[in-house]
Amino acid sequence: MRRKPNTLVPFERQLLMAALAFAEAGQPEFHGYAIARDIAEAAEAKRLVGHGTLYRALDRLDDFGMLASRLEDADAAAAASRPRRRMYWLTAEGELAAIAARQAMSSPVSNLQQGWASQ
Amino acid sequence: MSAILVRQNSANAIVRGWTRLYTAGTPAGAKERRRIQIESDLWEEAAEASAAGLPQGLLFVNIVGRMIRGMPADILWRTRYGGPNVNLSISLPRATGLLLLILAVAAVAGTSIQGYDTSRDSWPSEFQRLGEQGETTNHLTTAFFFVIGFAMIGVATLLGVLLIPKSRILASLAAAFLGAAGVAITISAALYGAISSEAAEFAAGKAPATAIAEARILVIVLDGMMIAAAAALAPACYALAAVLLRTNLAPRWSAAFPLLSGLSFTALAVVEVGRFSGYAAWGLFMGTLLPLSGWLIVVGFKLLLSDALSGPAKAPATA
Repeated sequence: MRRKPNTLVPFERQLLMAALAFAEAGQPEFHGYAIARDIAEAAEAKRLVGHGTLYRALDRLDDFGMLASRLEDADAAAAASRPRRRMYWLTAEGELAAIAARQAMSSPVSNLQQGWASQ
Repeated sequence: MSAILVRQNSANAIVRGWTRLYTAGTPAGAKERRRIQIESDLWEEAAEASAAGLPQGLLFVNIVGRMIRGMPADILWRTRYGGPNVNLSISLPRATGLLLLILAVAAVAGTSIQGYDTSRDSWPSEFQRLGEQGETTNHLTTAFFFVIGFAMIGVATLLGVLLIPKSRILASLAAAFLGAAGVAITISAALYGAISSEAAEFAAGKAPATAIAEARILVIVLDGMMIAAAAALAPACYALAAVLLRTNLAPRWSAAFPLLSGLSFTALAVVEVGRFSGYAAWGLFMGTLLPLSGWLIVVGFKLLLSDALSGPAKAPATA
């Protein structure tokens, strides 16, 4: 079944919440592997999310305008002897969506009511 | 850090190969963006594993496992950009014949060649032999299984594209079972890579004695995957045979092959449930796969060499 445009799947909401946690910790910018590790640790999961799942979700959130991204400066990557990272950060719209996702998660009753309301 | 990267080359090469495959034909910007994301991710995971002292075999499994788990999303990502702009001038019967022959090779090679032998010697001596036979041999064997697994997934996709318009349910079933067999063989490849990597470390005195028992568990899972691949191949071929017979792409007499195989497959299921002798099970296993391989080769060549059975129906322009 094809999902509606601009509808977030649970993993995309998890990404937004993790991005919000990064911002609140004073690290507004993050790269793909860092957020995959953060999500796995938060969920106490042994396995990291698949490459395709992670980067497709990040690209979708970028397309929706909830995340913004830039390619890291080549000199910075060369100085650290590693490939260049694509750095992401929450936009204002993404922050609102992340806060809403966090509230929905912490309030199962309101989540249920939203589900009823949408039926 | 360079040492760990060199030892991770096989896992990284597999992920890079898959990334090149599914980004082929996409706009340069999208392709470059995805490849940069993957390169960075591979580097970060290897660096973290190095810092944590994670065993190389486990890191290999983690990286390839992440690739496999992400494959459905990769394919969905790829569909945004449409299929590659390939103008197929080959007819439907010939394209089907060619795919059946590729499938015959992949099925025989994927279910008959293992790269290790636990029946001849005890597992510890076989594990030692694996470790001593050299990284190149082990990498080539791993790569071979990945090629077979990917080939089967590719054949499943293309046969689905070609035959679903002819027979929606049967062709979908055939493609799904073939895809499942391909995934099982791809997982086997990842497991073989992990086992042989662990064996190399053990032979070099860098892994503890417990590595033998750990690798044995992986071998049991690997054997299970190979059985799963064979078990998925049989119904895939039956469904394919039904599609080709219904659409007159295969001659009626060729139905004898899958019928013979089907009888053997049913008997094999009874034998396995009843836990009869291993020889009987082996005989019936071969009785299932050999007629199917014969059917794939005979019908594959017939379709490839002649379009006479159903006329020159053209394949879709894109794949």
